[in-house]
Amino acid sequence: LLPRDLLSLTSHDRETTPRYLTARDEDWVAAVVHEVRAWVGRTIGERALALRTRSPELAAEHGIASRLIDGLLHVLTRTYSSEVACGRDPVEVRAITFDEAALHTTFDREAALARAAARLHLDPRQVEAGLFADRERARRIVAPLAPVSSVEARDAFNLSLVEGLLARSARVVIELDAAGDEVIRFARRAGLLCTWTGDDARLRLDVSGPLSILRHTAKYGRALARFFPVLLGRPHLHLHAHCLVRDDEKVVVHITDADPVFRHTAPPAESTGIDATLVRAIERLGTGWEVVPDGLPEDRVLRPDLVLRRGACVVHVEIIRFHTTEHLRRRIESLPREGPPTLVCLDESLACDRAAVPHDVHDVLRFRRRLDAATLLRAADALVDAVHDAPTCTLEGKFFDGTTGDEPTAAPR
Amino acid sequence: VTSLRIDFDRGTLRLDGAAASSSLEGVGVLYDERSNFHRAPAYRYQSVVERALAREITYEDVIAREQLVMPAAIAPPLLRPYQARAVESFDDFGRRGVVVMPTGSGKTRVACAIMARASCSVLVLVPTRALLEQWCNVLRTFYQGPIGVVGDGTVRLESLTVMTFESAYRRLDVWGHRFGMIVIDEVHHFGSGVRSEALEMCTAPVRLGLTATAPHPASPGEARLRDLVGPVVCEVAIGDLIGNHLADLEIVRIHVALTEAERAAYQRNLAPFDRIRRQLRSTDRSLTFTECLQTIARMPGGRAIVAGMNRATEIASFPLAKRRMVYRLLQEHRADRTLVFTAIGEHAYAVASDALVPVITAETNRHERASILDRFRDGKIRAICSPRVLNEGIDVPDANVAIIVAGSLGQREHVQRIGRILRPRAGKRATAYELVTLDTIDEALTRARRRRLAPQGPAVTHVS
Repeated sequence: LLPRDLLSLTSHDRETTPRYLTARDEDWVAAVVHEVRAWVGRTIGERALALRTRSPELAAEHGIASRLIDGLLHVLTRTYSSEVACGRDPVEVRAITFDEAALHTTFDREAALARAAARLHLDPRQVEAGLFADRERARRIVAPLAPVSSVEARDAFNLSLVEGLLARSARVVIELDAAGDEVIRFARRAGLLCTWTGDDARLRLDVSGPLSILRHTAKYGRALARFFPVLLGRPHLHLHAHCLVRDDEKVVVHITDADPVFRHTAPPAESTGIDATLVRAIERLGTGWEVVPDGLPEDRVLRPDLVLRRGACVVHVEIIRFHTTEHLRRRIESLPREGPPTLVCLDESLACDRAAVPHDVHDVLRFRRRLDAATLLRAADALVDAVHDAPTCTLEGKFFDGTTGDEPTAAPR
Repeated sequence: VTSLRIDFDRGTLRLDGAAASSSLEGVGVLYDERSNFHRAPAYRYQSVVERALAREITYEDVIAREQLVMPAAIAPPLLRPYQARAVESFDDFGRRGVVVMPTGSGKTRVACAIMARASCSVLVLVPTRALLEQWCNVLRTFYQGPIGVVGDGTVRLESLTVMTFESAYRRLDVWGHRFGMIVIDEVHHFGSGVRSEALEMCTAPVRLGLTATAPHPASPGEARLRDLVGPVVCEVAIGDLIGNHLADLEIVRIHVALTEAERAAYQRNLAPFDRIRRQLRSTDRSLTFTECLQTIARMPGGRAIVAGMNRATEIASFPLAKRRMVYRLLQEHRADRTLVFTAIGEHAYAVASDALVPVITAETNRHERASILDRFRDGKIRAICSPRVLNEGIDVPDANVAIIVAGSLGQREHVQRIGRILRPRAGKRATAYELVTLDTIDEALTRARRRRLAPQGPAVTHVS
């Protein structure tokens, strides 16, 4: 995603939109694509130095803001990979060369390089070139498998621009057709802090932006940016993001499905969003629990993240990743009171404020980063037992500590 | 009947009871509407307790009850006279304050002596993972009990625990009340920035800060440290110890000149900045260099002007003459152990490439850095080049020659660098070469950074 100082906006009729690259930018985009391509085989440092000078020249030649040129260079240079251009590991080359150079009382650079070359079975010039070949700026640029066209460059820029804006947002509101309700599921599974409302015609998804939380802002910003491609290809979509781009001035950026970023980028493949490793681990444990594919089709929005079934027993699993105390409380309050019991799993490593889980919240399986299948199933067993023992009061008083991998305990917090 | 209950809650003091509102004004107590009780920053614990005692309030102290207990005593180390004076002075100031002593003068021993006197659980905060290990090694020589470590992937809490700054920032909201004493190495890092919240969250009544460079008097950083840790209770300058408790030091200042091409490039890059700075100073003579820099950066086209000034500084920091001089000095001191300090990484790599000496920069990984330092310690290599990484926070083996090519962080950096060669050894005479580019900004930077060594500093030889 584009960094803050390379984000470009434009305003029409008091409405602010991203400054997309379109066909009118074709000439200078092609020139920049050509410029970057010419550096294949050279080092990253050489390219950075040259482009620093070339960027204002290109901006002046084409009458374009240098921010746009720099933004496109930022996106394009990342499509090229790089490699260490040395026959041996540079760490080894350095260790041997510096040891050889320190050996004698008088210093002879050429002789030291020659002795190191003999030990490394290299040419002295290769030793000299390889000394710091693993430095970022000394790595050699490798061409991508297929050359990047100017249309692809524009698309990549537009996507990075929008993602960069979302990463600088305090709030994002997405309105779309009710048929697009799976977007909400994706948002939940991406762990975003969101609420949604809607009727038969339209849905409205209100997502907290990274600038509205206190911890994990960069990580959350990346999660929000990664979520954005899910929206591509959705008809009748309108998104407005409350962003802080420059000089701490808040702007509301409008994005609709008619924007170039929607026209040229293919939507991502449909995915359940469920951690496939977790599903496989559940199956491998052979406890009788199975994962029901795609949950409850009759209520797609409220479909839980995971539905576990063993015979007649069904347990819904809600996985909450990024969270604030308030968000957690809201999510738990919104859980259905009827139907199969719900097991809430909370990734404690993604707490977005310093506050702890509210004292009155029970029945939460806590984990850090990775949800362990065995712990999850033990918690599901305990939950089913609790419901059978006291079907009217359901789960009150149960607390599972998933961080230790211990057996779930019956003692409340 | 108790009328005040003092407890620890998420990095703050929780104060319950009738006396909480009426009797504790002026010690940072506020009413928290969200939780319906009074709160105060945790570091005000001692003040709250003292106020309660002064007002004869009956209180229940949950924090004192939950403090960790030392299973063994810390053996007091033998101290040199100036170290003993530092310990006495710390006691005189009510066991809260900052001890300023040069690198290699035994700050750690002073801390151990104070810990031995305090006889309570101790938390030691260090800025880097390298210092984590270094502190544990020193503490083991004076303390037989288990030593806790929090940082570098380890989480083990004991009554004597060493913790990195980063871990403290993330964890003291839970553990901030478990210690009776806190020792903060390289305490100058807490003069500003959000990391100082770590100290706010700690209730320890005994608070000791250690540094080689005292914060500027009356600066915001000094005020912040005074509040969180205490005042400077003892300051020992390098000049006080050179020749006695630190190695004898000679400073050789070598003046070099720019080539014609370098001079032209230097003036071309600096001229716009210099012109505007003169205009600003003509209207307000009190403007400092930094204030001018900030004002110019905010002007239209100011960034380009500041970038030009930075390029000029870079030219003056490492002209061809300095590059050749470093090469020559490294050959002259092949029998010595030499540390070369540059302003930026690129210059360090240039020196390393010319003279085939190892370089330690931010790009050097941990294993390679450890390997370089080990080989330097063993004498297999005789010189190391580095921009800032060796300034502090790494246990650098003994060296006796420093070549200061240029610096960008002022007095604090300079004192730390000189300190690297002052570790005492019988018959040792340390030499610091300071390379200065004539008629450039480099001269002003050199003058500014050496103020802290003067006036009782070491002898200086000038060479052109």
